[in-house]
Amino acid sequence: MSVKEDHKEVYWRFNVFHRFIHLVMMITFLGLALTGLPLKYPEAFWAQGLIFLWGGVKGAGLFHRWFAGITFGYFALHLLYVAYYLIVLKGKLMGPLSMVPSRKDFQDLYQHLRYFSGKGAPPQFGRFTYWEKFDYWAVFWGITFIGGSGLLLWFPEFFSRFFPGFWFNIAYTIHSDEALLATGFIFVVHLFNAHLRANVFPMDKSIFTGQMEAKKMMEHHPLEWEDLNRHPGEKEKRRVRKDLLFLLLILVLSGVLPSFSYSRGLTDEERMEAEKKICLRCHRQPNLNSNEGMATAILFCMDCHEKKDVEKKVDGKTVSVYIDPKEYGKTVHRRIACIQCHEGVASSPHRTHRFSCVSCHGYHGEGTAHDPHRSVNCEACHHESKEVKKDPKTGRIVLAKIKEGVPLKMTSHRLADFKNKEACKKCHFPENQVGAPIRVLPAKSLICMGCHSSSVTLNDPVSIVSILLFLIGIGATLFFWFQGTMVEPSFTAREKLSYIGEKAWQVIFSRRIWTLLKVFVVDVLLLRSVLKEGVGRWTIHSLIYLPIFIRFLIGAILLFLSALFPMSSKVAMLLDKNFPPIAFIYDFLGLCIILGAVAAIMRRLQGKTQKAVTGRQDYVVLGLIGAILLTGFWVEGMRILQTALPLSEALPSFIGYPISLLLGLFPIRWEVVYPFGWYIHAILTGALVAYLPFSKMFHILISPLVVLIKAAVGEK
Amino acid sequence: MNVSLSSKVLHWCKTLIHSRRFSKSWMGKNLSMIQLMELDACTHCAMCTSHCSVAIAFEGIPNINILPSEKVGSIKALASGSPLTEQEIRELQEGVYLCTNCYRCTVVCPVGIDLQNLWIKVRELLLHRGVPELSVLSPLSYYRGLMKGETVAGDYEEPLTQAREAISAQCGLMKKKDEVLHLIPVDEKFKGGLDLSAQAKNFSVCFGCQTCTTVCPVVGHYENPQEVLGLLPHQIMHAAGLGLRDLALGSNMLWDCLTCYQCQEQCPRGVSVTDVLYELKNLAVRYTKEKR
Repeated sequence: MSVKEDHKEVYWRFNVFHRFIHLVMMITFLGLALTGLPLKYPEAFWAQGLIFLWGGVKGAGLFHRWFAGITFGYFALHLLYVAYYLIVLKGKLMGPLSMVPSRKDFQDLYQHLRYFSGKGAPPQFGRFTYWEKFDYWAVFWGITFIGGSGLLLWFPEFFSRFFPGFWFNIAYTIHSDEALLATGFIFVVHLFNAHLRANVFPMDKSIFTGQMEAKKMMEHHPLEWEDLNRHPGEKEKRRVRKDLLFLLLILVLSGVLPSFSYSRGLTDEERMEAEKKICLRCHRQPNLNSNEGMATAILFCMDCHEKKDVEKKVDGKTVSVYIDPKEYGKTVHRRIACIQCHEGVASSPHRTHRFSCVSCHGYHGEGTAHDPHRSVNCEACHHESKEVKKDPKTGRIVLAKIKEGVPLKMTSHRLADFKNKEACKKCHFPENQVGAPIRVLPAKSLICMGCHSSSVTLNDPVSIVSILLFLIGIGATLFFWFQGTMVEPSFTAREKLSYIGEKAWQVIFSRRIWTLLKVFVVDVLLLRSVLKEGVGRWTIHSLIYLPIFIRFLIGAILLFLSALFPMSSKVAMLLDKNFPPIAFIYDFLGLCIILGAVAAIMRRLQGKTQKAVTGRQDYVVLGLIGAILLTGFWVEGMRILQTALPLSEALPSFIGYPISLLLGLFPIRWEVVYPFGWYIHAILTGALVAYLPFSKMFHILISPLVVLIKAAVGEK
Repeated sequence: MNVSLSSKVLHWCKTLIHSRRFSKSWMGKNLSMIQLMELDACTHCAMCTSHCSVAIAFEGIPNINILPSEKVGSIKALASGSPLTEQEIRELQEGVYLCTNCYRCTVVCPVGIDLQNLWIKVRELLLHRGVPELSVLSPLSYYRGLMKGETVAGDYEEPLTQAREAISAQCGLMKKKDEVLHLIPVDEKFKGGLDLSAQAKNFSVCFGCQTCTTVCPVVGHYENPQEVLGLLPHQIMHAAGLGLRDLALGSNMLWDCLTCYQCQEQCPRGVSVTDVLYELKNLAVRYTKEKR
């Protein structure tokens, strides 16, 4: 090919992926800027106009988050592409084809400045010029910092668990000021540099077409051009084959065009949605999120309900549904439209289908309310009415509407006061009809986490004392360890600590982390080395340890999920210990632990093959574990007996249910015994937790640690 | 009954508290951090004991610290600063020394505790406490000799000298060169004691031909052997025959013997010279231990 012909050729500069990312970035960045800037300058005349364009502040916020989500998406795609480029395409991180700044870029800048001031020739650029690299890194760090601070502001509840409050102020400043900087940079520096340079003006289209004429390439990227000429194969690959492009276009069009002609009918939901719109043409629903709309909606309901003679029939009895506006004005929900809680009341027939507290409020964690309360409706506790009953149909605890044939007035919107425990006594009293224990028991706390899904709280004396003792034990252990020497005998405790920290980071961010993971799975979880000792020993070990671990894992995952999705009814269902799969798994694992503890004690009593001297400690610990399990099943049996679960829900607790039947044979008032059983179970657990750091059972924490440290240090 | 129960509970509480103490201990300061963690990681599963090559010695020597799984407990107690009695520490010292360094315990430990190196470390630490360990005098304790290059100069000799000092404190003649001995009374009981093993009761047939002394490489090593070693092998045989306990046990020859069995092989009367020396050594050790 002659040089002259060569000039007419066109070469690829950017591949499809590059162009796609740039296009998406361009759109989302403009979107982010246009939705975000009005927030920074709310007083400016254009801000109102822009907000109006997005359909209000909420709309702008929604769009902003959509664009942000897409931004994170393409950023992740880009990182994946970099990995793909480095690993699969064997591209180099440094060198002339790279975005990484090199010494040459600084030399180019210097030479360019000299050239601008009329001293010397312009610099010769490679594939990327220094300002292109600067643009790239500006965007890269921009997304990291603006995106990171944006995430903080997006999910403040989540991040405030890890960061102190002032981080959010800092994040706000970073987010708004750096975004302004980015916007300014794009509109002034980037656009000017890209399109307004000499020989490029009015526009450099290569980032959209991906192509660049050979002539321009020689001029703007002479070093890259030279490099291409040295590698003819590479050059041929980069050449734009217009014939192929045309073929591709036809192929795509032949696939895409027919698909436009296909149209499908409306689904039922879509039709209903459409019909709704027709209704709403006249019957406009007020915007409940605005003060005006909320007030309109309440006034609409109050039109009737503030009249003293409004009433309805409950089981043939007349009940007043009069609402005193003054009283209502004192309740916490006074600024919420009635129809937001009383769902479906605006349709015919005029009645509330259900209250939807959880559309605004989250479900309670175990710490606030026990999981038996999953079968209790919100209003049963939170309404000030003292009358509750068990709905015979659903088995749920609901507010009673009639007491001894007299209908109760339910229109008060005042809530029960939970500051004192008196409110709990509407169910928790002797001979109650809803199957509640007589005593109000504390919530499951940190010490229960090993086996139950519980909350990270310490509210009762048993937990506090046992955790305190446990911490003392841990402290003594650390003290014991830190008296040992490390590397150099002269190391102080602080130097030891910093040495450990340094080494830990080094291991975590090295390839050895995979070895550690392998060791964790094979040696810690599956106990390979115990299996080597013998199958019997491994079986006993696993029967006790794996079930506890699995129960802990279930609890931990559910705790995590309920923190992430407090509104999710599915998570709430999983947290319910009467939920059949959970009930079955828990009972099965509990049975495994009992079998393991019994087998271990038998083995010791039979006399071991080894010459080991079995200490009293062994029996204490095994006895504690066994006793915890046995009392656990006993308490479960009593609970099932009291709550009178339907058979389909009780049967999956295949141990607890037979126990409950057995207990039912005795003429004992188990509901009186239940709190004591519960406390015995809790105290035993507390004793085990407190005793743990002083006993040989501490190995369940330390042995894995030692195994992992040895693997990390690289010892065989 | 009531008192014994409460004292039992009290004792149990004491051990519980002493299993974790907020006080630095001499042992703890000298072990490495990972070794201290390993002490805590021990589950007392007795895998090491079931594989230990000297665990069999427990049947002869009633010292529980011979079993590795129990040794860990004692070392942990020592490292946590529990007030072990001198007797208990001495037992641990013996237990930790009665070891063939076969590394089996380290290999079989399910938690991967490096037990063998723990024994070696603790052994050296305890030996340098200054309490004599008589087992170092055994010709089988050559392991320390192999490790000689790694120990600080002078440290190697120390336990050996200590042990010899301890023995010579009981067997006075090892130090004294000129001592008038009374031939009567003869310790008949001593002579009888030597009859314990079948091999070593034939010293009385010795007729003093000095073959044993002539072939002995230790004797041959010295210009004036009597000055260094005291009684020479044939003289020891003779002293034993006479029932002179002080003389027989008071010879340095016993402790310098290489147990090469040259003397025993060459003896025209078939006296088990080396075996007799062995018996005497054991006797001296037992005697010293009793006196302590």
